[in-house]
Amino acid sequence: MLQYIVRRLLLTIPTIFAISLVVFLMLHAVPGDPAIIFAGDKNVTPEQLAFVRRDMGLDRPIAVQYLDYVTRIFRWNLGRSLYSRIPVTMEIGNRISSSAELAAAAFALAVTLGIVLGVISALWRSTWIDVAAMSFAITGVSMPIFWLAQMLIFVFAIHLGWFPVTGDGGLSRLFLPALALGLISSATLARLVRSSVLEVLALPYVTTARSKGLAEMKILARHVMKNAFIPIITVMGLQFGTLLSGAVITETVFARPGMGKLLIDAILIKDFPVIQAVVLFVSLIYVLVNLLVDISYGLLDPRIRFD
Amino acid sequence: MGSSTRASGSTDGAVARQPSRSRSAWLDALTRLRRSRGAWVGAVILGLIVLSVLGAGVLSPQDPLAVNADVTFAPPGPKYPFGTDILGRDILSRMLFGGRLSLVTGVISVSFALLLGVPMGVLSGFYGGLTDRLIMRLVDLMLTFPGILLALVIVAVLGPSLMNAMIAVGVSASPTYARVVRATTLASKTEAYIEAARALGCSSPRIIVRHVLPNTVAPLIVLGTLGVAGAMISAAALSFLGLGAQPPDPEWGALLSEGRSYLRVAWWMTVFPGLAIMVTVLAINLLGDGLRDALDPRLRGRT
Repeated sequence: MLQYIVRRLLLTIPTIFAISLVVFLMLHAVPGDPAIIFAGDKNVTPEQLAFVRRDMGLDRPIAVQYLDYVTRIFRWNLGRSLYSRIPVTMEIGNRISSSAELAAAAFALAVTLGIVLGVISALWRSTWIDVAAMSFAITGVSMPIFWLAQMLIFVFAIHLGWFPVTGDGGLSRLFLPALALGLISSATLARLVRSSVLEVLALPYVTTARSKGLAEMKILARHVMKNAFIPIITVMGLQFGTLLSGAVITETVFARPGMGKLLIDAILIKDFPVIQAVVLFVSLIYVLVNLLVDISYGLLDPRIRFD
Repeated sequence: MGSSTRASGSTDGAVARQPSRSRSAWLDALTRLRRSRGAWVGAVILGLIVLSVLGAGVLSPQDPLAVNADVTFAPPGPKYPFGTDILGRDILSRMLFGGRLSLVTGVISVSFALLLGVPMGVLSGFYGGLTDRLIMRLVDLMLTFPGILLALVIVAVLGPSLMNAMIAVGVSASPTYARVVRATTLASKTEAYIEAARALGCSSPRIIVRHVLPNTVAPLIVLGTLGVAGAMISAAALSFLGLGAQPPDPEWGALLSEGRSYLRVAWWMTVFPGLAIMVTVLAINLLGDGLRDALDPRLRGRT
């Protein structure tokens, strides 16, 4: 098992370098001179541009610039916002707790609801329970999250006045955004849980377990869920990615000062140091989540370790 | 969906019992599709929506861009069924014209994804070796950016506009297509008819176009249909964030973005465009689920 974990850990190193390369090249892929972005104004004199270029090190060969960028990542020095002049790492640090809170609450809701709905509709396949749960799921898959978020604000915050409309801090401000994000994510999960439970239920060893008179609940816990969980965990990992990008939109709608709102605001004003840092940070978290998913495979299914 | 699964299950049996009736796999699929209730509902709703946005010029009660200061924020009523916005523009007319944009956005995004993903998948699967490894590393890299993050990166680089949003959504969806096409190509590469074609002296490009690509059509129809639904939501999300369609274009996501500031005074600006997106995407998803069950049951649960 340890060997499997170490091998899997080593595999993430090239991935992390590739991500840093993409994030680095972003700036140079923008049509025009990157120095103009840093100068912040289209009417700068050539002298000013030359100064910015030298100041930011943009006149060096691109490979040297990349090496410099990687070194700075390791030193956790990602530059300053072009507008607020605050170090980008500090901006991220200020906002991470708000995003983490939202992601955790929404993920908990999505996983609970998704698994319960999926298992129930698989066990009561083709009954009204199944139809109702799956109608809910396909509606959730088809619903734009920004619309659901606004409808929740309209009904629960504006109309009924149960929750504050926007902002950050406290459970009352977390409830609606987490509900919006969690409901949307649970829909995809419910559909997948249903199909993977159905697949396992049809396997011969489930029939064997039934024929030897094992109680249905025991079959479900011991034989069905353990095997159905491998595809479910994969999708939970993927869903976490969807959740991260859903958080971008949810935070914008609810005006929560999280990483997502930071990113969107930065894109709108072309604040590249911030854009690069947030993209890098979010992708690294996603790589970490996928790493945990892969390690949990090894724990759940011994066959995978020996591949 | 329970009912459609059951329907396709029983039809499989029926087809197996009378193999002579329908010789083509496509006809079998069509038979299965016709029995799927979900696919029917989806197709009918989608048909109605397409017809009404195509007929926007005739159906629209008002000019979608006509400003009328006398009727700002008119609630839904006989003259303005879905109300008006801050400039007195009719929401229904804006939605009908905006629907063209939204639907076309979904289709064009998926076309970009296909244009990029299919060649990547076929080359990767057919040639194998170094080509395969390079392309698949690129695909893996694109997949390390979760959800719409890659699309956001592309929009950040290219700048906000509807065209760039479509490119962004298309490019970020392409890895899925590349993977599915690669898998299908790998499976068909070992078939005897490929070997036969090669023995007859067919060139590799000819084998790819005539013998490999046709096998990828069925899964691509399924993925592409479901993809249009996903792309419509992603593109609408980008427009909602101000990174896609720009005012005064009445794309549905942009309409929702306009309505956002006036949720307190004009709920109709948010409710109706959102319903339009949801119903359209739901219809496409229902049709896509039906197509998947009919054409490629192996894909079930993977999307």
